[in-house]
Amino acid sequence: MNCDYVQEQLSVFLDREEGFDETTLSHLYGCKDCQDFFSSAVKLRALANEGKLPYPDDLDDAIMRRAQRVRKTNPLSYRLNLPVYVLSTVAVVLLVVSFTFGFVMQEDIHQKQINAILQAPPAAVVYRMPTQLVYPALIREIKGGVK
Amino acid sequence: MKSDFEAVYSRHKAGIYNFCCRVLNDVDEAKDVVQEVFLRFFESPVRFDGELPVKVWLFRSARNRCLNVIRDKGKFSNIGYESDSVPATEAVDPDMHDAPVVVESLLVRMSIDYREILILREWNEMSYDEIAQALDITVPAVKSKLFKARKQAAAIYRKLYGD
Repeated sequence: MNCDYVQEQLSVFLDREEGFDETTLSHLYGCKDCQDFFSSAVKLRALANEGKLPYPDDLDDAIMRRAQRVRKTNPLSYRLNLPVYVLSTVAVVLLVVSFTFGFVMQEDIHQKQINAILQAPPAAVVYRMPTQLVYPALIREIKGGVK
Repeated sequence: MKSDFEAVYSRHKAGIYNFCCRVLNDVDEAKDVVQEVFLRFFESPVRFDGELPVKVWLFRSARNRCLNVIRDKGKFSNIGYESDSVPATEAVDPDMHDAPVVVESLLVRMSIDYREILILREWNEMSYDEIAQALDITVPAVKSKLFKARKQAAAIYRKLYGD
């Protein structure tokens, strides 16, 4: 069995992840290289557990102070703790509702106008002869001619 | 009652700080990155759309910023690590040193991609799925890289401290 494959599987075993190939254990009993790899990986884990760095206190103050400053500089901002897809859905629904409502209202207004015309009483239309303007000089000529 | 931000901050601050310190090997730079990561999270909640768990989002953000710092400073010199490049020293008893010192001496000699995956697993106890999301790689790639990272760490340990 290939040592690289066995050591990769031992790495998976150490991390307690899924997909560990148990047949590699038989190789481990007889292979010094793979045993060394496993023991050094275990040693590294122990070192990691001991070697954690303490969090510096001054970083707490610095981050909280800067966060407060950001909050003050944006007094009009408001955080909506909703996923983006919920907000998108609400926006689309509002758009569809507003269009539908607009069309219904428009149809209603047209119908009212048509009804008002149909229900109005019949009106009499009065025509008259157009008025002819006659200028004073022309009147005098006419009158002279008559004489 | 604590705000959401304070709850997230107090839960993940130590992990993010340890990650940044170990990757950058510089406390001051690590502090700057930690501040940027948490303030970015605080300022732009819209960017956090719920597809990624908060922990993964924070570590991915921290990792990207650390890589930027390293790139800006031209610290990628150890990316092509070979075990032969570690100077063989007279074996020193590791029990003579504090664990953080031994860890630092190991990690600083590792290549950056193996160092970061080892830190995510050993110091932050992230699952393979979480590591895959944080590093934007597949789970089989996580398995393979972790094994190689452990192998590299073991080789460096043997060089520095003997068996």
